[in-house]
Amino acid sequence: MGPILSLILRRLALSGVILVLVSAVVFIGTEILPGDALDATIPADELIYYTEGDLDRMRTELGLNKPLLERFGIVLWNLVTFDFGVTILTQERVIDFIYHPLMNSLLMASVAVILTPLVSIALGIWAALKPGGRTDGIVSGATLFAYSMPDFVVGNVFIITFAIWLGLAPAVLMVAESAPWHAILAVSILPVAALTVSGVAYQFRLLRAGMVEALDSEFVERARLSGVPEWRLVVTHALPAALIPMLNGSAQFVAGIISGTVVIEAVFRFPGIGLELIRAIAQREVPTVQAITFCAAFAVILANLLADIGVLALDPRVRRKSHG
Amino acid sequence: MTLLNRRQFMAHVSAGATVFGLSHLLDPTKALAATPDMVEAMIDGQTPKQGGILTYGQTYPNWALGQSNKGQHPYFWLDLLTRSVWNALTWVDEEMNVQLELATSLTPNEDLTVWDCTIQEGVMFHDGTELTSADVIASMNFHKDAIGLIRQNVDRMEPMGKYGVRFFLVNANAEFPYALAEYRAMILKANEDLAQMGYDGIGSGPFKLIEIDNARQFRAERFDDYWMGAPYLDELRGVIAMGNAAINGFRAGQLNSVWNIDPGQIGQYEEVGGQIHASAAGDQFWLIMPKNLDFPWNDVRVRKAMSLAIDRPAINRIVYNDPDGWTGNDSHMTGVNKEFVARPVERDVDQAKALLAEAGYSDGVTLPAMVFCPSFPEEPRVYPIVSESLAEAGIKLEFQERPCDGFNPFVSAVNQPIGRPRRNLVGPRNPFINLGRASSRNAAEPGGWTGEASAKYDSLVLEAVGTPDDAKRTELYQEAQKILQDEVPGIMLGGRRNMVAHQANVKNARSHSQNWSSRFEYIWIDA
Repeated sequence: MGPILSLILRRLALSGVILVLVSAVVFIGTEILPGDALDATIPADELIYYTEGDLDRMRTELGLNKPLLERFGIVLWNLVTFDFGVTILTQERVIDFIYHPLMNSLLMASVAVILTPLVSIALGIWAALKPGGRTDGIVSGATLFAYSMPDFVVGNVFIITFAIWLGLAPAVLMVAESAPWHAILAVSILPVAALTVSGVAYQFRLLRAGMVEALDSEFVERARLSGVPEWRLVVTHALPAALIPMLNGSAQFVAGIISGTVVIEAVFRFPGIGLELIRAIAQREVPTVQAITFCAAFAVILANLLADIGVLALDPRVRRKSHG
Repeated sequence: MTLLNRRQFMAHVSAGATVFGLSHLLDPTKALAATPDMVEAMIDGQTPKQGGILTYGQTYPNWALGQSNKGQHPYFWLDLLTRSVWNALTWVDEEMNVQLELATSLTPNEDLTVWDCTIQEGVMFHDGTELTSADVIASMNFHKDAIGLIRQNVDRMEPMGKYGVRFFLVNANAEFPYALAEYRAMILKANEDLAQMGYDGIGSGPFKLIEIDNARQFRAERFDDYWMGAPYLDELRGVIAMGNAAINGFRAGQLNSVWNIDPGQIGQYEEVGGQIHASAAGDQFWLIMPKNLDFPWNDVRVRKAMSLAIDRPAINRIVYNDPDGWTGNDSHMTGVNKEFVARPVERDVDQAKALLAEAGYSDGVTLPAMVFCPSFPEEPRVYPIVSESLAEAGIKLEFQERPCDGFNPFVSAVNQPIGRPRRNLVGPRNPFINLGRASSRNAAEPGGWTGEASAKYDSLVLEAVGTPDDAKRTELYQEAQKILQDEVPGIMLGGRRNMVAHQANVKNARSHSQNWSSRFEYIWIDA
């Protein structure tokens, strides 16, 4: 087995372990602390409506009477096999509730995940060409400002500016939850743009720092002295090195996109998983909350794995380490 | 296909009205003045233009099945503004008089237990088939199968040829035509499988449904073969616009009207040229207090204290900016009902405290929390006023907000058949339907109100609806309301009006006290 393949397999195994740990955290957070799923669904002041018999029956139906480890085993197996069970109140399949919203959010987040590095790289290169110059100052200032803005503020500012003042995009997303992907995308310009803002600001800052450092490094200086044109220095020498810290920050970036999705969807009424999560929490539907939390964690782990592989491809030092 | 023009339609309707046979119910002078083609009456003096799209925001979430993403029946998105796609046999006008719609006559027998209905000939469904008595009977059976007033009123039906239906009622009912105007009494295309009725979205209304997502929106296009004449608009689109989405969509020009606006945003709509139309009443908030568990409000003195302590005028003043508006009288009657009896005392905190002390709560009382879902945008602002005014009398009552999706299964999941303490939404109706809701025959809403007064109340309401004499019936209804004020089985906050905001070029967009009685035939857009 080649050392690179071995490294990838190790990362895969690590991802699996993290997934189990995440499942454990989800299980503990939603089923054990401070009570079980039934306690989370029925607050103390409502216990008057239930007899002990009712509660026992419901616990049995939900499998909450089983030993802790057995329950965890069942929850873990169900989660990793994407069997999310049924809702507590209406006994309907959780997957039926979350499938379309999940796909819609995935679509929106995927566009943001693709778009964000592209914009960040373009801005990062532009700013790093003359560090400390006017362009660098403006772009750096603007991204710092954008980074400090909460997502709901960005979303509302976008609605006011682009929908209400300029009329360039819809303020209310008129699209069915089960609409085809192109119909969803067609009305998602503002939500995607709003979702991209903080990601761009974050990634730009990582990339810019990496670019400035790389352009100032000895190997670039040597290449410059040997007559390599400046654009080539930037694109083929400095950029790959600068991308590494950006890729290392991918897990945080993807996690940011996911949490941002919940907020942005609420602001724009985007038919996605964020609205579904808010509803499930308000309804105290623990199985739905578990399913969505698990899917979000899965997305972060997957993104992290892909970023690791990207770093492996770009950074010879990491490859060398895996050899030795 | 033969299509009636408006004039022919009016001739039929007027003829129907004259044989309506209930002069005590439907004052012929008033009926004939109001029945004339509602479209022509509305556009009188206007020069309507054909075309355009009305895109309206609806601030009221789909709740009919309790789960919008489960309530796939197209009917349930539209249940508030049903008459865009469907028609009923009758219609209640803005003054709350019943009118004929698909029915051309509606005649009771002497004891008001059997009603003969003839229906308009030549009415086409959106799929090009004719609406007949078979569709009426199938629709009524469909509605009987679900919840609602048809089930409570109609025992059975039989066809009388292709265009006639005989209704056999459970009890004598002088106000039966009102039940036929209900949002759960629309005429759908018949289907042998009742469970599948209506999923095709086919109606006989002015607009033909072409796309619907029950959790979010619908789209309907003009039905050229509409029996009242094609509507003016090319297309009708509706979108659930909660939170700031409604005002944002309106300001952006994406929505040219919004139904059930937040009264706190009237100024914002007007600022951008919006015009507001408010109806005389609207959906109201009725507090249900289950009395089948050991709660302090099982004692009538606590319930009366609550009613005396709530500052209803403050709700009108603060939430609705309507200081002179009517206030709830602890029945389902609203200010729009001429039989309405106001409570003798609007508010008396001292008397409320005295009643509490008499009931053994001189140090105050804590009541079980009530749940609500924010069906109307201003609703979360109403309950803090209720809680604070109750607190002045020493009554602690917390209101807990729950999502509207899942609200119905949530409230009925326990303590059946009454469920949790909560607020119910009630639309304004005729006296029998209104007062029937507090009757013990209606399992859920009275909250387990029993006893001598409850029995007397039931018999009074039943006697009233079977009484042909108008004055006598009113007298009985008023006596029944006084019983409710003495017993307070539930609490009506009152004062709310339905309101629509529309852009200035949208003509005749009118709010109706009964949301489901709003009409779209006469709305046009001045390009």
